[in-house]
Amino acid sequence: MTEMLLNGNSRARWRAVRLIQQRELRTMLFGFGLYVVIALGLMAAILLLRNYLNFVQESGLLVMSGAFNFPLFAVIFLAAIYLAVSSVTTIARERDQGTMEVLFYGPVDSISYVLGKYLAQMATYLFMLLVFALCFGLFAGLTNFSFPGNVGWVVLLSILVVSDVVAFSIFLSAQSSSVRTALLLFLSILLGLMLIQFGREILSAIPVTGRYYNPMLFMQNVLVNLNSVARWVSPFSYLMQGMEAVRRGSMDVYALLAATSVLFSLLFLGLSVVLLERKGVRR
Amino acid sequence: MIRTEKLSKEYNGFAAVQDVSLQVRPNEIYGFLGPNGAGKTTTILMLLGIVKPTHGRVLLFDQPLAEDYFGIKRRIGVVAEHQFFYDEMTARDYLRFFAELYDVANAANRIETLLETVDLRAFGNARARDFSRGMQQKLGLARALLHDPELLILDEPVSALDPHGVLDIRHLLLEQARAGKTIFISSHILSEVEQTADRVGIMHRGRLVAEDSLANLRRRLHPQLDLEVELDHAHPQLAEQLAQLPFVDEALSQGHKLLLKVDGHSDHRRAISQAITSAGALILEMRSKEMSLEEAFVTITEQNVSLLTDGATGEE
Repeated sequence: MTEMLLNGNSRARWRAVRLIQQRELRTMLFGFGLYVVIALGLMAAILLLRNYLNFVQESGLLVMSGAFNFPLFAVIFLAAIYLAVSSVTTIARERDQGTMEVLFYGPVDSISYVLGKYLAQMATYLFMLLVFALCFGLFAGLTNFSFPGNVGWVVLLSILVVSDVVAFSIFLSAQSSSVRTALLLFLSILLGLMLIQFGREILSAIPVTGRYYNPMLFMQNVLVNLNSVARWVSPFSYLMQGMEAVRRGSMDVYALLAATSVLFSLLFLGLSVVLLERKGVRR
Repeated sequence: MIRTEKLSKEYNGFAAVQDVSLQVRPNEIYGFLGPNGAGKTTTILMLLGIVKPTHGRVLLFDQPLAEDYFGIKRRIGVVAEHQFFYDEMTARDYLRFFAELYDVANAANRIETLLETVDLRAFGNARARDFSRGMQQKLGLARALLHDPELLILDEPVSALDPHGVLDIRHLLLEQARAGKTIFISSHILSEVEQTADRVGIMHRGRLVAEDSLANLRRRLHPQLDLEVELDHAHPQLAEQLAQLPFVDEALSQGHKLLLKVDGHSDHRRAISQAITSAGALILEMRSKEMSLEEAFVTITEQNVSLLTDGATGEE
Protein backbone atom coordinates (compact mmCIF):
# COMPACT_ATOMS: atom_id res chain seq x y z
CA MET A 1 0.00 0.00 0.00
CA THR A 2 2.77 2.41 1.00
CA GLU A 3 4.67 1.51 -2.14
CA MET A 4 1.56 2.16 -4.23
CA LEU A 5 1.08 5.54 -2.59
CA LEU A 6 4.65 6.56 -3.11
CA ASN A 7 5.43 5.31 -6.61
CA GLY A 8 5.80 7.77 -9.46
CA ASN A 9 2.53 6.86 -11.16
CA SER A 10 0.49 7.49 -8.00
CA ARG A 11 2.22 10.83 -7.43
CA ALA A 12 1.56 11.84 -11.04
CA ARG A 13 -2.07 10.76 -10.73
CA TRP A 14 -2.59 12.74 -7.53
CA ARG A 15 -0.93 15.77 -9.12
CA ALA A 16 -3.43 15.51 -11.99
CA VAL A 17 -6.34 15.10 -9.54
CA ARG A 18 -5.21 18.15 -7.57
CA LEU A 19 -4.78 20.34 -10.65
CA ILE A 20 -8.09 19.37 -12.22
CA GLN A 21 -9.83 19.90 -8.89
CA GLN A 22 -8.17 23.29 -8.28
CA ARG A 23 -8.98 24.64 -11.73
CA GLU A 24 -12.60 23.51 -11.49
CA LEU A 25 -12.99 24.86 -7.95
CA ARG A 26 -11.47 28.21 -8.93
CA THR A 27 -13.92 28.46 -11.86
CA MET A 28 -16.85 27.74 -9.56
CA LEU A 29 -15.74 30.08 -6.77
CA PHE A 30 -15.22 32.93 -9.22
CA GLY A 31 -18.50 32.18 -10.98
CA PHE A 32 -21.77 33.99 -10.55
CA GLY A 33 -24.02 30.93 -10.16
CA LEU A 34 -22.68 29.75 -6.82
CA TYR A 35 -23.49 33.04 -5.09
CA VAL A 36 -26.96 33.23 -6.66
CA VAL A 37 -27.73 29.78 -5.25
CA ILE A 38 -26.33 30.70 -1.82
CA ALA A 39 -28.43 33.89 -1.82
CA LEU A 40 -31.56 31.97 -2.89
CA GLY A 41 -30.95 29.37 -0.18
CA LEU A 42 -30.55 32.01 2.50
CA MET A 43 -33.63 33.86 1.30
CA ALA A 44 -35.67 30.65 1.53
CA ALA A 45 -34.28 29.99 5.02
CA ILE A 46 -35.10 33.54 6.16
CA LEU A 47 -38.62 33.23 4.79
CA LEU A 48 -39.21 29.94 6.63
CA LEU A 49 -37.71 31.24 9.87
CA ARG A 50 -39.85 34.38 9.62
CA ASN A 51 -42.95 32.23 9.30
CA TYR A 52 -41.93 30.26 12.39
CA LEU A 53 -41.37 33.53 14.27
CA ASN A 54 -44.83 34.76 13.29
CA PHE A 55 -46.28 31.41 14.35
CA VAL A 56 -44.49 31.60 17.72
CA GLN A 57 -45.72 35.15 18.20
CA GLU A 58 -49.31 34.33 17.27
CA SER A 59 -49.56 31.07 19.22
CA GLY A 60 -47.66 32.29 22.28
CA LEU A 61 -45.34 29.27 22.24
CA LEU A 62 -42.31 29.59 24.51
CA VAL A 63 -40.33 26.72 23.10
CA MET A 64 -40.06 25.56 19.50
CA SER A 65 -37.77 22.69 18.66
CA GLY A 66 -36.53 21.86 15.19
CA ALA A 67 -37.07 25.33 13.72
CA PHE A 68 -33.94 24.91 11.64
CA ASN A 69 -34.84 21.45 10.26
CA PHE A 70 -36.82 22.56 7.24
CA PRO A 71 -34.63 25.61 6.39
CA LEU A 72 -31.61 23.29 6.59
CA PHE A 73 -33.25 20.80 4.24
CA ALA A 74 -34.14 23.66 1.87
CA VAL A 75 -30.58 24.99 1.59
CA ILE A 76 -29.13 21.48 1.25
CA PHE A 77 -31.69 20.69 -1.46
CA LEU A 78 -30.87 23.89 -3.38
CA ALA A 79 -27.13 23.30 -3.04
CA ALA A 80 -27.53 19.71 -4.24
CA ILE A 81 -29.57 20.80 -7.28
CA TYR A 82 -26.96 23.43 -8.14
CA LEU A 83 -24.12 20.91 -7.80
CA ALA A 84 -26.08 18.34 -9.80
CA VAL A 85 -26.44 20.78 -12.72
CA SER A 86 -22.82 21.82 -12.38
CA SER A 87 -21.61 18.19 -12.28
CA VAL A 88 -23.81 17.00 -15.10
CA THR A 89 -22.33 19.62 -17.42
CA THR A 90 -18.72 19.52 -16.24
CA ILE A 91 -17.35 16.59 -18.30
CA ALA A 92 -19.72 17.11 -21.22
CA ARG A 93 -18.63 20.76 -21.51
CA GLU A 94 -14.93 19.91 -21.51
CA ARG A 95 -15.46 17.14 -24.04
CA ASP A 96 -17.47 19.54 -26.20
CA GLN A 97 -14.84 22.30 -25.95
CA GLY A 98 -11.96 19.91 -26.68
CA THR A 99 -10.00 20.87 -23.55
CA MET A 100 -10.46 17.37 -22.16
CA GLU A 101 -8.62 15.83 -25.11
CA VAL A 102 -5.64 18.14 -24.55
CA LEU A 103 -5.47 17.06 -20.90
CA PHE A 104 -5.39 13.41 -21.93
CA TYR A 105 -2.41 14.03 -24.25
CA GLY A 106 -0.50 14.42 -21.01
CA PRO A 107 -0.32 12.59 -17.68
CA VAL A 108 -4.07 12.49 -17.00
CA ASP A 109 -6.17 9.31 -17.01
CA SER A 110 -9.87 8.63 -16.53
CA ILE A 111 -9.50 7.97 -12.79
CA SER A 112 -7.63 11.21 -12.07
CA TYR A 113 -10.02 13.17 -14.26
CA VAL A 114 -13.23 11.87 -12.66
CA LEU A 115 -11.76 12.17 -9.17
CA GLY A 116 -10.58 15.74 -9.82
CA LYS A 117 -14.03 16.75 -11.03
CA TYR A 118 -15.76 15.02 -8.10
CA LEU A 119 -13.51 16.59 -5.45
CA ALA A 120 -14.02 20.07 -6.93
CA GLN A 121 -17.80 19.72 -6.59
CA MET A 122 -17.48 18.40 -3.05
CA ALA A 123 -15.12 21.21 -2.06
CA THR A 124 -17.68 23.67 -3.43
CA TYR A 125 -20.35 22.03 -1.26
CA LEU A 126 -18.14 22.33 1.82
CA PHE A 127 -17.67 26.02 1.01
CA MET A 128 -21.45 26.43 0.71
CA LEU A 129 -21.96 24.59 4.01
CA LEU A 130 -19.49 26.94 5.68
CA VAL A 131 -21.38 30.00 4.42
CA PHE A 132 -24.72 28.47 5.46
CA ALA A 133 -23.35 27.54 8.90
CA LEU A 134 -22.15 31.09 9.52
CA CYS A 135 -25.47 32.56 8.39
CA PHE A 136 -27.55 30.03 10.36
CA GLY A 137 -25.45 30.84 13.44
CA LEU A 138 -26.31 34.48 12.90
CA PHE A 139 -30.01 33.65 12.45
CA ALA A 140 -29.94 31.56 15.65
CA GLY A 141 -28.48 34.52 17.53
CA LEU A 142 -31.07 36.90 16.11
CA THR A 143 -34.15 34.68 16.57
CA ASN A 144 -33.24 32.74 19.71
CA PHE A 145 -34.17 29.52 17.91
CA SER A 146 -31.70 26.88 18.99
CA PHE A 147 -29.95 24.28 16.86
CA PRO A 148 -30.94 20.74 17.73
CA GLY A 149 -28.03 18.84 19.23
CA ASN A 150 -28.02 16.29 16.40
CA VAL A 151 -27.63 18.83 13.59
CA GLY A 152 -24.06 17.60 13.06
CA TRP A 153 -25.38 14.17 12.05
CA VAL A 154 -27.72 15.76 9.53
CA VAL A 155 -24.90 17.86 8.06
CA LEU A 156 -22.66 14.78 7.85
CA LEU A 157 -25.38 12.84 6.05
CA SER A 158 -25.93 15.79 3.73
CA ILE A 159 -22.28 15.55 2.65
CA LEU A 160 -22.79 11.89 1.77
CA VAL A 161 -26.06 12.63 -0.01
CA VAL A 162 -24.55 15.49 -2.02
CA SER A 163 -21.68 13.15 -2.85
CA ASP A 164 -24.27 10.73 -4.32
CA VAL A 165 -25.90 13.52 -6.34
CA VAL A 166 -22.49 14.64 -7.67
CA ALA A 167 -21.33 11.08 -8.45
CA PHE A 168 -24.57 10.28 -10.29
CA SER A 169 -24.44 13.57 -12.25
CA ILE A 170 -20.80 12.98 -13.20
CA PHE A 171 -21.85 9.54 -14.42
CA LEU A 172 -24.49 11.17 -16.67
CA SER A 173 -21.95 13.74 -17.84
CA ALA A 174 -19.39 11.07 -18.70
CA GLN A 175 -21.71 9.59 -21.30
CA SER A 176 -22.86 12.85 -22.89
CA SER A 177 -21.09 14.48 -25.82
CA SER A 178 -22.58 17.91 -25.27
CA VAL A 179 -23.89 20.08 -22.46
CA ARG A 180 -27.35 20.04 -24.01
CA THR A 181 -27.50 16.24 -24.11
CA ALA A 182 -26.26 16.05 -20.52
CA LEU A 183 -28.87 18.52 -19.28
CA LEU A 184 -31.66 16.80 -21.21
CA LEU A 185 -30.66 13.47 -19.73
CA PHE A 186 -30.60 14.93 -16.23
CA LEU A 187 -33.96 16.66 -16.64
CA SER A 188 -35.55 13.49 -18.05
CA ILE A 189 -34.42 11.49 -15.03
CA LEU A 190 -35.59 14.20 -12.63
CA LEU A 191 -38.92 14.37 -14.41
CA GLY A 192 -39.21 10.58 -14.36
CA LEU A 193 -38.66 10.48 -10.59
CA MET A 194 -41.21 13.25 -10.08
CA LEU A 195 -43.74 11.45 -12.28
CA ILE A 196 -43.34 8.28 -10.25
CA GLN A 197 -43.76 10.20 -6.98
CA PHE A 198 -46.75 12.32 -8.01
CA GLY A 199 -48.27 9.65 -10.24
CA ARG A 200 -48.35 7.26 -7.31
CA GLU A 201 -50.03 9.86 -5.10
CA ILE A 202 -52.62 10.81 -7.74
CA LEU A 203 -53.44 7.23 -8.71
CA SER A 204 -53.66 6.04 -5.12
CA ALA A 205 -56.42 8.60 -4.56
CA ILE A 206 -58.57 6.98 -7.25
CA PRO A 207 -60.80 4.23 -5.78
CA VAL A 208 -60.59 0.86 -7.48
CA THR A 209 -63.98 -0.77 -8.00
CA GLY A 210 -65.08 -4.04 -9.53
CA ARG A 211 -64.52 -7.63 -8.57
CA TYR A 212 -62.23 -8.51 -11.45
CA TYR A 213 -58.66 -7.42 -12.07
CA ASN A 214 -58.60 -3.74 -12.79
CA PRO A 215 -55.94 -1.95 -14.97
CA MET A 216 -56.00 0.92 -12.48
CA LEU A 217 -54.99 -1.45 -9.70
CA PHE A 218 -52.17 -2.72 -11.90
CA MET A 219 -50.93 0.85 -12.52
CA GLN A 220 -51.15 1.66 -8.80
CA ASN A 221 -49.08 -1.43 -7.98
CA VAL A 222 -46.50 -0.59 -10.65
CA LEU A 223 -46.09 2.95 -9.34
CA VAL A 224 -45.90 1.81 -5.70
CA ASN A 225 -43.10 -0.59 -6.63
CA LEU A 226 -41.31 2.00 -8.78
CA ASN A 227 -41.58 4.44 -5.89
CA SER A 228 -39.97 1.93 -3.53
CA VAL A 229 -37.09 1.53 -5.99
CA ALA A 230 -36.82 5.32 -6.37
CA ARG A 231 -36.52 5.66 -2.59
CA TRP A 232 -33.27 3.68 -2.82
CA VAL A 233 -32.08 5.38 -5.99
CA SER A 234 -32.87 8.99 -5.19
CA PRO A 235 -30.22 10.59 -2.93
CA PHE A 236 -32.79 13.13 -1.65
CA SER A 237 -34.86 10.29 -0.30
CA TYR A 238 -31.76 9.23 1.71
CA LEU A 239 -31.54 12.72 3.17
CA MET A 240 -35.20 12.78 4.20
CA GLN A 241 -35.01 9.29 5.68
CA GLY A 242 -31.75 10.23 7.43
CA MET A 243 -33.25 13.39 8.96
CA GLU A 244 -36.17 11.34 10.18
CA ALA A 245 -33.79 8.74 11.65
CA VAL A 246 -31.81 11.48 13.44
CA ARG A 247 -35.03 12.97 14.81
CA ARG A 248 -36.09 9.57 16.15
CA GLY A 249 -32.60 8.75 17.35
CA SER A 250 -32.46 5.55 15.21
CA MET A 251 -28.75 5.52 14.64
CA ASP A 252 -28.78 2.03 13.14
CA VAL A 253 -31.06 3.27 10.33
CA TYR A 254 -28.82 6.32 10.01
CA ALA A 255 -25.70 4.14 9.75
CA LEU A 256 -27.36 1.96 7.11
CA LEU A 257 -28.31 5.03 5.07
CA ALA A 258 -24.80 6.48 5.41
CA ALA A 259 -23.19 3.22 4.33
CA THR A 260 -25.57 2.90 1.38
CA SER A 261 -24.77 6.49 0.39
CA VAL A 262 -21.04 5.80 0.40
CA LEU A 263 -21.54 2.67 -1.72
CA PHE A 264 -23.81 4.64 -4.08
CA SER A 265 -21.08 7.27 -4.61
CA LEU A 266 -18.34 4.69 -5.10
CA LEU A 267 -20.48 2.73 -7.55
CA PHE A 268 -21.29 5.75 -9.74
CA LEU A 269 -17.75 7.15 -9.64
CA GLY A 270 -16.45 3.74 -10.72
CA LEU A 271 -19.06 3.56 -13.48
CA SER A 272 -18.09 7.08 -14.61
CA VAL A 273 -14.47 5.99 -15.04
CA VAL A 274 -15.51 2.90 -17.03
CA LEU A 275 -17.91 4.94 -19.15
CA LEU A 276 -15.32 7.63 -19.84
CA GLU A 277 -12.89 5.00 -21.06
CA ARG A 278 -15.51 3.41 -23.29
CA LYS A 279 -16.93 6.67 -24.63
CA GLY A 280 -13.54 8.32 -25.04
CA VAL A 281 -12.48 11.90 -24.56
CA ARG A 282 -13.10 13.19 -28.06
CA ARG A 283 -16.05 15.19 -29.24
CA MET B 1 10.79 4.93 -30.15
CA ILE B 2 7.36 4.26 -31.67
CA ARG B 3 6.37 0.84 -32.98
CA THR B 4 2.94 -0.28 -34.02
CA GLU B 5 2.06 -3.88 -34.80
CA LYS B 6 -0.86 -4.51 -37.16
CA LEU B 7 -2.71 -1.58 -35.65
CA SER B 8 -6.34 -1.44 -36.76
CA LYS B 9 -9.40 0.59 -35.87
CA GLU B 10 -12.94 -0.05 -36.99
CA TYR B 11 -15.91 2.27 -36.48
CA ASN B 12 -19.23 0.45 -36.96
CA GLY B 13 -17.72 -1.91 -39.48
CA PHE B 14 -15.77 0.81 -41.30
CA ALA B 15 -12.04 0.20 -41.19
CA ALA B 16 -10.45 3.60 -40.48
CA VAL B 17 -7.00 2.09 -39.97
CA GLN B 18 -5.95 -1.36 -41.14
CA ASP B 19 -2.92 -3.38 -40.09
CA VAL B 20 -0.57 -0.43 -39.74
CA SER B 21 2.90 -1.56 -38.67
CA LEU B 22 5.21 1.42 -38.56
CA GLN B 23 8.44 2.13 -36.81
CA VAL B 24 9.92 5.45 -35.76
CA ARG B 25 13.58 5.26 -34.79
CA PRO B 26 15.19 7.30 -32.05
CA ASN B 27 16.41 10.79 -33.03
CA GLU B 28 14.73 10.87 -36.42
CA ILE B 29 12.12 13.13 -37.93
CA TYR B 30 9.39 10.91 -39.28
CA GLY B 31 6.92 12.45 -41.72
CA PHE B 32 3.49 10.85 -41.58
CA LEU B 33 1.63 11.65 -44.76
CA GLY B 34 -1.67 10.84 -46.35
CA PRO B 35 -4.68 12.46 -47.99
CA ASN B 36 -7.63 13.58 -45.87
CA GLY B 37 -9.40 10.62 -44.31
CA ALA B 38 -6.41 8.31 -44.75
CA GLY B 39 -6.40 7.46 -41.04
CA LYS B 40 -3.48 9.63 -39.87
CA THR B 41 -5.24 11.29 -36.94
CA THR B 42 -6.87 8.02 -35.83
CA THR B 43 -3.43 6.41 -35.84
CA ILE B 44 -2.00 9.28 -33.77
CA LEU B 45 -4.88 9.03 -31.28
CA MET B 46 -4.19 5.31 -30.94
CA LEU B 47 -0.50 6.06 -30.33
CA LEU B 48 -1.56 8.34 -27.48
CA GLY B 49 -4.03 5.85 -26.02
CA ILE B 50 -6.94 8.22 -26.64
CA VAL B 51 -8.58 5.87 -29.12
CA LYS B 52 -8.43 2.15 -28.36
CA PRO B 53 -7.35 -0.03 -31.28
CA THR B 54 -9.69 -2.76 -32.49
CA HIS B 55 -6.66 -4.97 -33.16
CA GLY B 56 -2.92 -4.67 -32.87
CA ARG B 57 -0.77 -2.83 -30.38
CA VAL B 58 1.37 0.24 -29.86
CA LEU B 59 4.77 0.31 -28.22
CA LEU B 60 6.21 3.62 -27.09
CA PHE B 61 9.77 3.56 -25.81
CA ASP B 62 9.56 -0.25 -26.32
CA GLN B 63 6.67 -0.75 -23.93
CA PRO B 64 2.88 -0.63 -24.11
CA LEU B 65 1.41 2.61 -22.79
CA ALA B 66 -0.56 0.78 -20.09
CA GLU B 67 2.66 -0.53 -18.56
CA ASP B 68 3.80 2.90 -17.43
CA TYR B 69 1.00 5.29 -18.43
CA PHE B 70 2.11 8.38 -16.53
CA GLY B 71 5.83 7.79 -17.06
CA ILE B 72 5.43 7.45 -20.82
CA LYS B 73 3.03 10.40 -21.12
CA ARG B 74 5.60 12.61 -19.41
CA ARG B 75 8.14 11.74 -22.11
CA ILE B 76 5.85 12.82 -24.95
CA GLY B 77 4.86 16.27 -26.21
CA VAL B 78 1.80 16.53 -28.41
CA VAL B 79 0.49 19.25 -30.71
CA ALA B 80 -2.86 18.55 -32.32
CA GLU B 81 -4.22 20.18 -35.44
CA HIS B 82 -6.71 22.24 -33.43
CA GLN B 83 -5.88 23.85 -30.11
CA PHE B 84 -8.36 24.12 -27.26
CA PHE B 85 -8.08 26.46 -24.28
CA TYR B 86 -9.91 27.10 -21.06
CA ASP B 87 -11.98 30.28 -21.30
CA GLU B 88 -10.43 31.99 -18.32
CA MET B 89 -6.75 31.28 -18.99
CA THR B 90 -4.15 33.65 -20.38
CA ALA B 91 -1.26 32.21 -22.38
CA ARG B 92 0.92 32.31 -19.26
CA ASP B 93 -1.78 30.70 -17.06
CA TYR B 94 -2.17 27.96 -19.65
CA LEU B 95 1.53 27.15 -19.71
CA ARG B 96 1.70 27.40 -15.89
CA PHE B 97 -1.15 24.89 -15.59
CA PHE B 98 0.56 22.37 -17.84
CA ALA B 99 3.98 23.04 -16.29
CA GLU B 100 2.50 21.99 -12.97
CA LEU B 101 0.81 18.97 -14.52
CA TYR B 102 4.13 17.81 -15.98
CA ASP B 103 5.98 18.82 -12.81
CA VAL B 104 8.39 21.07 -14.73
CA ALA B 105 11.33 22.30 -12.68
CA ASN B 106 11.99 26.04 -12.73
CA ALA B 107 8.69 26.50 -14.55
CA ALA B 108 8.59 30.32 -14.56
CA ASN B 109 11.84 30.60 -16.51
CA ARG B 110 10.93 27.79 -18.85
CA ILE B 111 7.58 29.45 -19.63
CA GLU B 112 9.23 32.81 -20.43
CA THR B 113 11.85 31.13 -22.62
CA LEU B 114 9.22 29.24 -24.58
CA LEU B 115 6.96 32.28 -24.97
CA GLU B 116 10.01 34.07 -26.38
CA THR B 117 10.84 31.13 -28.66
CA VAL B 118 7.37 31.05 -30.20
CA ASP B 119 7.26 34.84 -30.35
CA LEU B 120 4.31 35.22 -27.96
CA ARG B 121 5.97 36.91 -25.00
CA ALA B 122 4.17 40.18 -25.65
CA PHE B 123 0.84 38.31 -25.54
CA GLY B 124 1.55 36.29 -22.39
CA ASN B 125 -1.18 37.99 -20.40
CA ALA B 126 -3.80 37.91 -23.15
CA ARG B 127 -6.54 35.28 -23.14
CA ALA B 128 -5.39 32.32 -25.20
CA ARG B 129 -8.89 31.70 -26.52
CA ASP B 130 -8.86 35.09 -28.26
CA PHE B 131 -5.62 34.36 -30.16
CA SER B 132 -5.55 33.89 -33.92
CA ARG B 133 -5.28 30.27 -35.06
CA GLY B 134 -1.61 30.71 -35.87
CA MET B 135 -0.88 32.09 -32.40
CA GLN B 136 -2.86 29.27 -30.81
CA GLN B 137 -0.83 26.78 -32.81
CA LYS B 138 2.39 28.36 -31.51
CA LEU B 139 1.10 28.29 -27.94
CA GLY B 140 0.19 24.63 -28.39
CA LEU B 141 3.75 23.97 -29.50
CA ALA B 142 5.11 25.82 -26.47
CA ARG B 143 2.91 23.61 -24.28
CA ALA B 144 4.21 20.49 -25.98
CA LEU B 145 7.83 21.57 -25.40
CA LEU B 146 7.36 22.66 -21.76
CA HIS B 147 8.60 19.44 -20.17
CA ASP B 148 11.40 18.94 -22.69
CA PRO B 149 9.95 15.67 -24.05
CA GLU B 150 12.02 13.01 -25.80
CA LEU B 151 9.31 12.39 -28.36
CA LEU B 152 7.24 15.03 -30.12
CA ILE B 153 4.03 14.00 -31.87
CA LEU B 154 2.74 16.76 -34.08
CA ASP B 155 -0.46 16.67 -36.10
CA GLU B 156 -0.44 19.38 -38.78
CA PRO B 157 1.66 21.77 -36.67
CA VAL B 158 2.10 24.44 -39.35
CA SER B 159 -1.28 24.27 -41.07
CA ALA B 160 -2.46 27.61 -39.62
CA LEU B 161 0.81 29.52 -39.80
CA ASP B 162 1.96 32.27 -42.15
CA PRO B 163 5.25 31.78 -44.07
CA HIS B 164 7.29 33.42 -41.29
CA GLY B 165 5.63 31.20 -38.72
CA VAL B 166 6.28 28.11 -40.85
CA LEU B 167 9.95 29.04 -41.10
CA ASP B 168 10.21 29.65 -37.34
CA ILE B 169 8.59 26.34 -36.50
CA ARG B 170 10.76 24.52 -39.05
CA HIS B 171 13.89 25.93 -37.40
CA LEU B 172 12.55 25.05 -33.99
CA LEU B 173 11.84 21.46 -35.01
CA LEU B 174 15.26 21.06 -36.63
CA GLU B 175 16.80 22.46 -33.45
CA GLN B 176 14.86 19.90 -31.41
CA ALA B 177 16.01 17.13 -33.73
CA ARG B 178 19.62 18.28 -33.37
CA ALA B 179 19.15 18.14 -29.60
CA GLY B 180 18.37 14.45 -29.95
CA LYS B 181 14.58 14.56 -29.93
CA THR B 182 12.47 12.19 -31.99
CA ILE B 183 9.79 13.93 -34.01
CA PHE B 184 6.71 12.32 -35.52
CA ILE B 185 5.06 14.88 -37.75
CA SER B 186 1.82 14.37 -39.60
CA SER B 187 1.22 16.93 -42.30
CA HIS B 188 -0.38 17.51 -45.64
CA ILE B 189 2.11 20.30 -46.42
CA LEU B 190 4.46 18.03 -48.31
CA SER B 191 7.12 20.67 -49.02
CA GLU B 192 7.44 21.14 -45.26
CA VAL B 193 7.92 17.45 -44.60
CA GLU B 194 10.33 17.20 -47.53
CA GLN B 195 12.59 19.76 -45.90
CA THR B 196 12.58 18.26 -42.43
CA ALA B 197 11.83 14.51 -42.44
CA ASP B 198 14.47 11.81 -42.44
CA ARG B 199 11.92 9.14 -43.30
CA VAL B 200 8.28 9.20 -44.30
CA GLY B 201 5.33 6.89 -43.92
CA ILE B 202 2.46 7.29 -46.36
CA MET B 203 -1.07 6.33 -45.38
CA HIS B 204 -3.74 5.67 -47.96
CA ARG B 205 -7.28 4.43 -47.27
CA GLY B 206 -6.35 3.36 -43.74
CA ARG B 207 -3.25 1.44 -44.73
CA LEU B 208 0.42 2.31 -44.53
CA VAL B 209 1.49 1.96 -48.16
CA ALA B 210 5.05 3.25 -47.96
CA GLU B 211 7.68 3.75 -45.32
CA ASP B 212 11.22 4.71 -46.19
CA SER B 213 13.66 7.58 -46.57
CA LEU B 214 12.68 10.06 -49.25
CA ALA B 215 15.72 9.17 -51.39
CA ASN B 216 14.84 5.48 -51.29
CA LEU B 217 11.21 6.17 -52.09
CA ARG B 218 12.21 8.21 -55.13
CA ARG B 219 14.58 5.51 -56.30
CA ARG B 220 11.98 2.82 -55.92
CA LEU B 221 9.22 4.80 -57.54
CA HIS B 222 11.23 6.30 -60.32
CA PRO B 223 14.30 4.20 -61.17
CA GLN B 224 15.34 6.62 -63.95
CA LEU B 225 17.15 9.87 -63.31
CA ASP B 226 16.40 12.85 -65.55
CA LEU B 227 19.49 14.86 -66.50
CA GLU B 228 19.49 18.18 -68.29
CA VAL B 229 22.82 19.18 -69.84
CA GLU B 230 23.41 22.67 -71.23
CA LEU B 231 26.11 22.83 -73.91
CA ASP B 232 28.10 25.73 -75.43
CA HIS B 233 26.28 25.23 -78.73
CA ALA B 234 23.97 22.76 -80.42
CA HIS B 235 25.37 19.27 -81.18
CA PRO B 236 22.58 17.39 -83.00
CA GLN B 237 24.49 14.10 -83.33
CA LEU B 238 25.56 13.97 -79.70
CA ALA B 239 22.17 12.69 -78.47
CA GLU B 240 22.42 9.67 -80.79
CA GLN B 241 25.95 8.94 -79.56
CA LEU B 242 24.94 9.15 -75.91
CA ALA B 243 21.90 6.90 -76.48
CA GLN B 244 24.39 4.11 -77.33
CA LEU B 245 25.77 4.16 -73.79
CA PRO B 246 24.45 1.18 -71.73
CA PHE B 247 23.14 3.27 -68.84
CA VAL B 248 21.35 5.86 -71.00
CA ASP B 249 17.74 4.91 -71.70
CA GLU B 250 16.80 7.95 -73.73
CA ALA B 251 18.59 11.03 -75.11
CA LEU B 252 17.02 14.03 -76.79
CA SER B 253 18.63 17.12 -78.23
CA GLN B 254 16.80 20.47 -77.82
CA GLY B 255 18.96 23.27 -79.22
CA HIS B 256 21.79 23.81 -76.77
CA LYS B 257 20.33 21.34 -74.37
CA LEU B 258 20.48 17.59 -74.00
CA LEU B 259 17.73 15.80 -72.09
CA LEU B 260 18.81 12.39 -70.81
CA LYS B 261 17.05 9.61 -68.94
CA VAL B 262 19.66 7.47 -67.22
CA ASP B 263 19.67 4.52 -64.85
CA GLY B 264 19.12 6.04 -61.39
CA HIS B 265 20.65 3.23 -59.34
CA SER B 266 24.18 4.62 -59.67
CA ASP B 267 25.81 7.95 -60.46
CA HIS B 268 26.75 8.14 -64.17
CA ARG B 269 27.47 11.86 -64.40
CA ARG B 270 31.24 11.45 -64.72
CA ALA B 271 30.90 8.97 -67.62
CA ILE B 272 28.40 11.24 -69.37
CA SER B 273 30.70 14.26 -68.97
CA GLN B 274 33.58 12.32 -70.45
CA ALA B 275 31.45 11.18 -73.39
CA ILE B 276 30.31 14.73 -74.09
CA THR B 277 33.76 16.35 -73.86
CA SER B 278 35.37 13.63 -75.95
CA ALA B 279 32.77 14.45 -78.62
CA GLY B 280 34.14 18.00 -78.64
CA ALA B 281 31.31 19.74 -76.75
CA LEU B 282 31.66 21.96 -73.73
CA ILE B 283 29.32 21.49 -70.75
CA LEU B 284 28.04 24.77 -69.28
CA GLU B 285 25.69 23.20 -66.73
CA MET B 286 24.36 19.78 -65.70
CA ARG B 287 21.22 19.44 -63.61
CA SER B 288 19.51 16.33 -62.28
CA LYS B 289 15.76 16.49 -61.78
CA GLU B 290 14.59 14.46 -58.80
CA MET B 291 11.08 13.31 -58.11
CA SER B 292 9.56 15.61 -55.51
CA LEU B 293 7.78 14.27 -52.44
CA GLU B 294 4.61 15.63 -53.94
CA GLU B 295 5.11 13.56 -57.10
CA ALA B 296 5.99 10.49 -55.03
CA PHE B 297 2.90 11.04 -52.85
CA VAL B 298 0.61 11.44 -55.84
CA THR B 299 2.08 8.36 -57.54
CA ILE B 300 1.60 6.25 -54.43
CA THR B 301 -1.86 7.43 -53.48
CA GLU B 302 -3.41 7.79 -56.92
CA GLN B 303 -1.97 4.66 -58.46
CA ASN B 304 -2.38 2.53 -55.33
CA VAL B 305 1.31 1.67 -55.28
CA SER B 306 2.54 -0.18 -52.22
CA LEU B 307 6.20 0.16 -51.29
CA LEU B 308 6.16 -1.77 -48.09
CA THR B 309 7.76 -5.02 -49.23
CA ASP B 310 11.53 -4.60 -49.25
CA GLY B 311 12.82 -3.40 -52.59
CA ALA B 312 9.67 -4.36 -54.46
CA THR B 313 7.40 -1.86 -56.08
CA GLY B 314 4.02 -3.29 -56.89
CA GLU B 315 0.49 -2.23 -57.55
CA GLU B 316 -2.21 -3.38 -55.20
